[in-house]
Amino acid sequence: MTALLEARNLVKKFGGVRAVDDVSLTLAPTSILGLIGPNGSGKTTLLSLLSGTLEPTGGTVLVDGSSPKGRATHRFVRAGVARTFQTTRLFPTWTLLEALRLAAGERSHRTRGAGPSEIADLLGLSDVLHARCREFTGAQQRLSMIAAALATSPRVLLLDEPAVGMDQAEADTLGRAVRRVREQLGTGIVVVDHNMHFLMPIADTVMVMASGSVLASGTPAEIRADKSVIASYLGAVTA
Amino acid sequence: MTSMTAPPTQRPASSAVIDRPAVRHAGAVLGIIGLGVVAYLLLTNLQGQRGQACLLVVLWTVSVTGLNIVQGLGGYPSLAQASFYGGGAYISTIALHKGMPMVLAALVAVAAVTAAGLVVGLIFARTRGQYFAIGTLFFGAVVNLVLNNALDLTGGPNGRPVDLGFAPSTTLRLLAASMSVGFMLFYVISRMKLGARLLSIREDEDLAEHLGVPTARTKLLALTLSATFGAWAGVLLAQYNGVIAPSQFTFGQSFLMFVAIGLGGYGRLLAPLVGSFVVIGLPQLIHVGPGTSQIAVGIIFIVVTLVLPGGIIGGLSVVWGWFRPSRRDDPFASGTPDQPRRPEVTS
Amino acid sequence: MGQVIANGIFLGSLFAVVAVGLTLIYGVMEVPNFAHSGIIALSAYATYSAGKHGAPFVLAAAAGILTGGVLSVLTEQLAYRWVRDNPAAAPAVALGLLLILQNTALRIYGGEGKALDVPYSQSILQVGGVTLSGVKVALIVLAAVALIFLSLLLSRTSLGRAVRAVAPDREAAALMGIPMQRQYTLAFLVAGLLGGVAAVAYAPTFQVSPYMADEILLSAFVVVVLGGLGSVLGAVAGGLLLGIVESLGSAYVSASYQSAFGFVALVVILVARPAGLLSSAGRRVA
Repeated sequence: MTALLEARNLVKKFGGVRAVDDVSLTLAPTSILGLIGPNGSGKTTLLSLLSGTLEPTGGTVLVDGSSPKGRATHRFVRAGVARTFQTTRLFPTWTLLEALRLAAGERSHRTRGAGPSEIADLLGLSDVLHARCREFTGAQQRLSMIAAALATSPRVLLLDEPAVGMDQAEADTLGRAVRRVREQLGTGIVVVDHNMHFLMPIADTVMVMASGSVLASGTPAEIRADKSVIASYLGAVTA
Repeated sequence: MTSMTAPPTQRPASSAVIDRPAVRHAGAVLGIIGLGVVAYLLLTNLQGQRGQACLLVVLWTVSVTGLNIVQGLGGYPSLAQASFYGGGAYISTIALHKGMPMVLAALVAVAAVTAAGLVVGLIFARTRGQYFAIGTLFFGAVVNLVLNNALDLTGGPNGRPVDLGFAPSTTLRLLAASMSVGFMLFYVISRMKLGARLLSIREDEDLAEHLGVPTARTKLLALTLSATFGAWAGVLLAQYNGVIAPSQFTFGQSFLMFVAIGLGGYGRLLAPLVGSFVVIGLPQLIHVGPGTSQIAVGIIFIVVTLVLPGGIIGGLSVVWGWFRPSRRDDPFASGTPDQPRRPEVTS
Repeated sequence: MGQVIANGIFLGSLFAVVAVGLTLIYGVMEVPNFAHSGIIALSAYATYSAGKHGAPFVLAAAAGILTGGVLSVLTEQLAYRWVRDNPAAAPAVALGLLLILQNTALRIYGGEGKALDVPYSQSILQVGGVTLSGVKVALIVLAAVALIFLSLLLSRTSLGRAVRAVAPDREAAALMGIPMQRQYTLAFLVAGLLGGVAAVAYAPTFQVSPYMADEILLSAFVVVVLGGLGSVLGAVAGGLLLGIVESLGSAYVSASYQSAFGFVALVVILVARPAGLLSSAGRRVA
């Protein structure tokens, strides 16, 4: 069985800095991979390489065993990879429904995925489907970004710090929503986040990054017990 | 015209007759045809300065409607529209002079300029924002250089006469019809997938790309379409005017077409008409000297840009919104009448 | 060939002076300052007027340069400051300003080109087989002096450090506590003064007219794309390169199409690198 998403020896240099340095990973279907690491460790850059936002300096990204045709980012979307951003909001003057319809209209014809109302249900956004995106609360903005990404019917969903700025109750709601997405849509998910209380319970596998490389990788339990991780990262967070 | 400036209503619960898409579309079509009839009556009845002003406004409306696709819907500042306009004028004139029938000459001109728009698009559609402005601006400047220097074909800086291809009455009819057809095409395009894609690019190009919108291809198509509109307007200008010169197609003229969109309201159906009236019609009617009127246009444009993001039409629709009690029940209509109208995106 | 290169250096110096102004403004504010060409024209007219009223040339030149600085700061104070957080509206404001500035010149002085006479109009410099008129030599010298002065200003003073910090990253600069308002004003002042220098030096080789700087502005924008944003050295190198390219094209292909060779250069750059030569594509999301 081929991996849903596979990265081989990814390298990304900015000037002389190796932001991502020889990272490989695989994502199995319907699994959730958590990416943690200190600021500047290359998590978001790695996510951008996986989503086609950035072009790697070296290495390849394979979706379902083949690399997306062409370099343009929308090719990755067509190939089944969607992502969210830390700070970007949906089109402020559009309603959520309009944004979801736009994204759904860009699916490749072979894929059939969840419709706008189903996605809104899944993420608890049904009430604001007709509201304009600029009127959303912070939590709604993050959920609506996820909804728009899901509207493209991705097989792989990349979430960039979805829980940042959320309180614990909001983060728990988000965690449940992410698991519902995986269970009901069968999407493979990569999550970057700092909030361990949010990330650890939902992740099947956790990868720890430091200085652009993979420091450790394993189940949440293994990572919690990993001495080098505790020393370099987790210790600082929980302390 | 109310149905064209009303904010979009997406709520299925709304039962007002005017919100039914079929009714709204029919109203828009009737309005557009009505405008064409009014334009024809004005064109055939107005004399002297007023006739000249009306004619220029209609010509510009056709050309600027093309620009309204790439710049209005897509938010991309194309500063080459006057060169597409000039290309249509010159190529049809030269083809006619070489002995082609007028209809063929017009087709050749529109096809050649559309192809040129495609090439410009292929080069610059991958660039972002202001590089696009600089690139199209420079293209316009090069076209003007050619018009000034290719003496054998263009007659150089003094221009050249145009042979009569269409009877004057035919030209007037074509002008009025072209304005209506242009509006109709824009109305359809803005409601197609292309329109939604362009609007998403205007809102946030990076995000649009990440939602699967092929942004470069969309911009390419929009620029090519804008060239087609410009070329056809140019064909009619040459036929009406009887003489064409490079000074009619400088990048100053491209600026003014850009300004017309901003004044009217980006992406609004009637923006080309309102903008062209202010930019090219009013200076013909009010005699204050060319410099002064342009200074006034510049000041008005900056003020509108800063104060009325929806342009003059957007401003008017805000005012209109204050007098519509029927919409008070819609919580999302009251706060947003200044926003450009958006098509319903069909999945 | 030497003659062609010398002409290229003349053109390139002119491009560089204009482009440095554009790149400073683009760097701090993301404004493509189309209005710069109007400022150059009005500066040239100021020198012309002062000369007409009997001012000695040095004084008239100073008046022109100062006019450039003042007008440029005025555009920032009266218009651009309102679109600081909305770069998408910047081209529109720039075009509105250009309309106002050029038509003010048209209104006051009319559309006829006027000759600007300078004390060195008749002199000619001859080195080997290369002949260059005094006005062109003067432009090269003035441009060099202005740019050296500017790079000293930018490298030695705290203001210069601030401008350089702002250019690559506005948000970071704001976080670092660099007072942004002063940097905007300063960038516009320096750009305007350089525009004034370009006007005073260029007008004698051409003419004074409302549209005198339009083609130069286009080439200068190509230089900005070529040399990278906010980079003075890049603008100088790019300016000289483009000047020589246009001069070569003008000498060996067709003189009428001189600025078209700049367009060809732009096309080549943007086809190879759609985001510009020294771009930081993806900075926003990285």
